[in-house]
Amino acid sequence: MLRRLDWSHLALLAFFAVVVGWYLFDTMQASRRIENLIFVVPLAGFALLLATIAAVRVVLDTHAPAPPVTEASAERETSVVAPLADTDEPDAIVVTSRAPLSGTTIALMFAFAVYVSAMDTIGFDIASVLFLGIALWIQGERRWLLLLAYTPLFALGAVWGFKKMLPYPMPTMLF
Amino acid sequence: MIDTDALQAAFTLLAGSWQPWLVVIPGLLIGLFAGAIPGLQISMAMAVFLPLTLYMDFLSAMLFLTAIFTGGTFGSGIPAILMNIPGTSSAIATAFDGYPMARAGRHNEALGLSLGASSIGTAVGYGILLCLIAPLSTAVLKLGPSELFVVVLWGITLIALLSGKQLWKGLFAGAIGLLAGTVGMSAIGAIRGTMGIPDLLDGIPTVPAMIGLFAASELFSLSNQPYLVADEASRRVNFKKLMRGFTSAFRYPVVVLRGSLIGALVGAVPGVGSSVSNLVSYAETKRHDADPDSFGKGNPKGVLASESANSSSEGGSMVTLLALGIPGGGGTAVMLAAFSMHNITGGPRFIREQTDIVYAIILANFVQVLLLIIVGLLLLRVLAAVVKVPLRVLVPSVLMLAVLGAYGLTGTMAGPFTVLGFGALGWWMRRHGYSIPAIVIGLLLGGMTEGELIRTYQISGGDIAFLWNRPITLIMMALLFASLGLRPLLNRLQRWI
Repeated sequence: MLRRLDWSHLALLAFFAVVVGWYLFDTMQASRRIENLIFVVPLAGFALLLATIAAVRVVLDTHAPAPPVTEASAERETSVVAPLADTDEPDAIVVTSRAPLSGTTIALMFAFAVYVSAMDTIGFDIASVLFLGIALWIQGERRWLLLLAYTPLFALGAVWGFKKMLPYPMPTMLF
Repeated sequence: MIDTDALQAAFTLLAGSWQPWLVVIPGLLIGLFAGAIPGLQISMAMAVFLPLTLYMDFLSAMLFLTAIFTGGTFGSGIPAILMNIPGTSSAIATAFDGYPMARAGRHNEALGLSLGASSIGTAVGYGILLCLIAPLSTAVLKLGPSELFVVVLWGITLIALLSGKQLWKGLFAGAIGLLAGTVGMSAIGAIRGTMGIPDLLDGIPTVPAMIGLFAASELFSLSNQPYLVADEASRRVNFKKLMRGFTSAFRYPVVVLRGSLIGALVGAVPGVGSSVSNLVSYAETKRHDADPDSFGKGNPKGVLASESANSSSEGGSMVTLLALGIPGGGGTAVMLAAFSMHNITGGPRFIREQTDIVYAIILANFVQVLLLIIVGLLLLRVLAAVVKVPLRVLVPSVLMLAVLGAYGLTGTMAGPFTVLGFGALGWWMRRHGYSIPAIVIGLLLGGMTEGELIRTYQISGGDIAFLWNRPITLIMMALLFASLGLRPLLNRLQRWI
């Protein structure tokens, strides 16, 4: 059985290639003097070269046979810090970078994006209480006492603390 | 070796005001808790609390951050011992013997040993820093722009080499970071990559970007993790037995001192730090021991070797940060950001001109060791329980604090949006195994590296033959290429352990 094409990795490389390519173009447009280009041009070229090689490798990887799914490898995919118990294998202690893409993570990131976008409009206090409550819910917290007591106390306490401390205005609705 | 006048001034500075001391215990507590909770990284805690240092003078800010660092390094050993889950990568080897000790009902002794070794390790690391920093700064002052340019490239190459499994991914992340560090107005006044956004004229806001990359991206990755711990942390902490373990750390001076020296030495190499030093020290202690087979089965020397090394790495990494202004890892990268927030440029000139402050930071860390012992002994009972805090409560709470902190730094919505953007990007990069420290350090050093290259070009007039008159540059370039062989060496070390 062959591996599946890693679209997410390819998309990341494409994103970086586009950003680096655009930055290179923008730098050259800004000034053609050597002092402006001496660092950025070779470095951007190096980054683009690496991105191309990486993309080719990702594509070629699809032709390699997929590793057999063992219980141990499945365990490692799903845990952030794999426990060491009853193993002498040093690799088991490596923090895995590839946690499975879950609906929880996507929902949390979306809630976070909405929070950041709305906080200036609806106030840092209201936005923080809403974000904390919704994020706790997304994360699977169902204890009502924690949702109703911890959320406003922690969120409003933190916003109030920052507002008192900061020398510039922080938009809030309640205080 | 030690500038006695500056040392005296440092004593006066520390004794003259109680204000810098106010932040040490909160810093230690933050570090202890962050280290003790598996999944939270010390650099993440430092990044989240970095905005608070805006309201401190430089000395207090550094004491606060080093206290988080010190507390975190010890804290990460607690879950390693109690549950076989290293709080951070710096406590990997602690679990090798700490957990078997805990399973045998000797967890108090293991925790005490860990505290003793951490305290000695931190003190030795900073002792070495105290002795070396002045002569090192004199030597570093002789480095010209070409040498500094190669030093930065070398540092980033080492970080790229050692912070991931694939070299090219680390190099790619480092290159992206360096490029991102040049966004904004260039040395000749050309405006690059700002997309017309005025906030970007001074470059990408580095601290919010760092909060996004270190903290938010890690929190996103942790978001679908349940409790990491179930039952085993219910072991009771007994003060008497803990003290017995603490004092027995002094019974193996050779193991602790060897671990501390290895930690300081390895810690000074960018990219390596405590994550590797604990493994090297463990391997060396096992190799020199009369009964190497007892390691991995609850040998106290294993805990001592690992904990002394990871703690002394802090002092080692400070050598590179203070002498060259180059952070070797996540924790020192946050400290470098604190330097710039206080308009201070790290490096030999800073050491020469503000030697008293540098010495004051080092001396205060000796006091921090004593405070760590007290706080550690008193709080181990709580810390043994805190490892059970569910991540589902922590993740959104810390995310919220990160956003508020980023707003506090910039005073505009540019801060929170930078956290959001870099948090998502960091999460995406983590998923595919790209080095986050490499991109952060690149971002921090991009402007400086470009400046050094431009100065080299101006001095040399563009003639490459200029390098033949710069033997140190050539040696450093040779070292840069030689260090490409380090990764296989490290893999062999891990296999051997």
